[in-house]
Amino acid sequence: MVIQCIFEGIVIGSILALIAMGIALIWGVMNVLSFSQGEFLMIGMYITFFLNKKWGIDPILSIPFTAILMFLIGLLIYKTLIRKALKGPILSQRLITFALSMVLVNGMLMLVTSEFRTIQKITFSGIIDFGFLVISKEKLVPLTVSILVTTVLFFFMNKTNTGKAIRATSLDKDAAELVGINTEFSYALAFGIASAIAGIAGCVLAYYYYITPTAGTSFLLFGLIAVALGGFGSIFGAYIGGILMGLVDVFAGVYFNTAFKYVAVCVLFMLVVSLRPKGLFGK
Amino acid sequence: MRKFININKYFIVKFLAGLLAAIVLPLFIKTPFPLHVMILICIWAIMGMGWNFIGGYAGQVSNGHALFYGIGAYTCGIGVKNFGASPWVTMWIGVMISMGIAFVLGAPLLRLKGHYFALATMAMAECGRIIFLNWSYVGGATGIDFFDRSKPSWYTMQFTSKYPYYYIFLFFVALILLLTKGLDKSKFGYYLRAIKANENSAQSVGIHTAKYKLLAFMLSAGIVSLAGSLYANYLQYIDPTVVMPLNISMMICLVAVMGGIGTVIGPLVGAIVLTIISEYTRATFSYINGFDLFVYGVLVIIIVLYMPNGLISLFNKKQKNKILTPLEMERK
Repeated sequence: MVIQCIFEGIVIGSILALIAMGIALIWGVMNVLSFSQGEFLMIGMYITFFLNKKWGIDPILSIPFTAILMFLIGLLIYKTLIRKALKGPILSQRLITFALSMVLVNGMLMLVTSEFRTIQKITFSGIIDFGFLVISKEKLVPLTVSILVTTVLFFFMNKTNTGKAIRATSLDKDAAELVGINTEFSYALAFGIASAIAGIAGCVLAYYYYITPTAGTSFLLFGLIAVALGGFGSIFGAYIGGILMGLVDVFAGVYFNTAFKYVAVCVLFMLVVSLRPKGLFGK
Repeated sequence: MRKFININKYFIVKFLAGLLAAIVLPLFIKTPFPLHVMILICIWAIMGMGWNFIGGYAGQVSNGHALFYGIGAYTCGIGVKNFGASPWVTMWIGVMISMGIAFVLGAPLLRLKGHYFALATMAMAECGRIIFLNWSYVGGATGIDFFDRSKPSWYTMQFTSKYPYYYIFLFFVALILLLTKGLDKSKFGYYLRAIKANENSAQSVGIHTAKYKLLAFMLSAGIVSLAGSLYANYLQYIDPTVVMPLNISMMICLVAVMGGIGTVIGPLVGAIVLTIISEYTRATFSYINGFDLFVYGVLVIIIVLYMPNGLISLFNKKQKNKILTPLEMERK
């Protein structure tokens, strides 16, 4: 039972970690609390769903397409809204992302109605039974993809010049400009990557979760808390925060009461930040 | 003796003129919808002004004031339904409870800064919502319906006409507007502004920052709770998704930001504009599911994007040559 819970927790946690990393990237680079990240996940789910319905493309195969499309959508949103908002006060930036999420949810509601949908044709299904642990194959997909995406992101941020430029921008914007980094490009790239990651999370979540315009909202708060738990702008911290959040979510749901798992998560968060105001891995 | 309330004559004239206009205006309205909009404006104005103390003056942006709104609403609801108590009394009990909770939670949470404080308050409000959603004594997800005609309507604050509501709410708006104006130029107001500009410097010149932040948080919690009580009596039905969603917490900020945060009149202006936009888009575009909130969101984005300092900055030409705080200079 405990092992099963740990497994389920890590699966949910790996999806939360994907959202959290996007939020952490935006938070770290441009110091904006992005409330629209959950909606990017939701759009990713719908792209996957329609690709699957029209051409029977498996969610895994639609990941590259969804990622690229979400990257472009993210760039567009950055260029039209966020770039302008960054000149204003911090609070109005946050409110703009909130209003954006409202627009996206309700725009989606108009386009596709609030009907609950699930993906019908998937390649990986069935279960693997170890006796002490039952793994449904649908849930292995998010886990694998999440680990892969995280590895690629770590590699990108730490080893490539573009990634280093983004990190430099997040450390000190003016200094980065002085050494010739195009910070504007870094900002746009960071926002695009964050959207793309959320899109990928949507793809893998669509594997076993129901699809509805408000699906992203419930993941948003957990994602935000995971980031704050992990520590300011730290992508690694966000990943660990996400996994932790998933574990707490499942354990509280199984051993206490499903309704109070949100309370458990929120209380844990408030306790942690009261004791360590910069999060678990913050400096 | 130090003058506690520093209100100049010019303000009193403007205030009385505005109040008179607000009193007379409903007499020309014959249909219920505009009056409903005006009642909601009052509610949002009270909330915006309440939030303004902690979010605007003290600069500690809370995204969880829906908790206090819900507590105010529930205190009145349970008071009428389970104890037959008058909302005139229970609304103050709600204020006390809210201030108590703000005191207990504020002490650890106010040590956090920026986004962390926002997220922690958000988590606080979500906690409250889930607890109320699963607490059978307060009705759980079905909420409480406390419509009661057995007692005189002035006692239960439940009227058949919308006019009494409007005038009661208007009274509270005027009261809190005067309170804000009084505190705006008081020592308390300047302390809060100093904390907003730079907390460390404020502390180094001898301001007890933790105490004043906590006071501001409690004050704003109390006022928002009052708004919740009034709204509950107007609606006579409450459930956690009506009075405690994340949207309410965000919209309280939106009201203040739209008008101009840290100003006396800002939240009132914001409430007027935002409520008119939201209610009329709701009434006009509700034939397609989601279209009204879509339009509302787009309008909010446009206003916040092009007027980041609020609508009040349009009227305040003085803003141009005002002294900038270090924080604002840094941002330029």
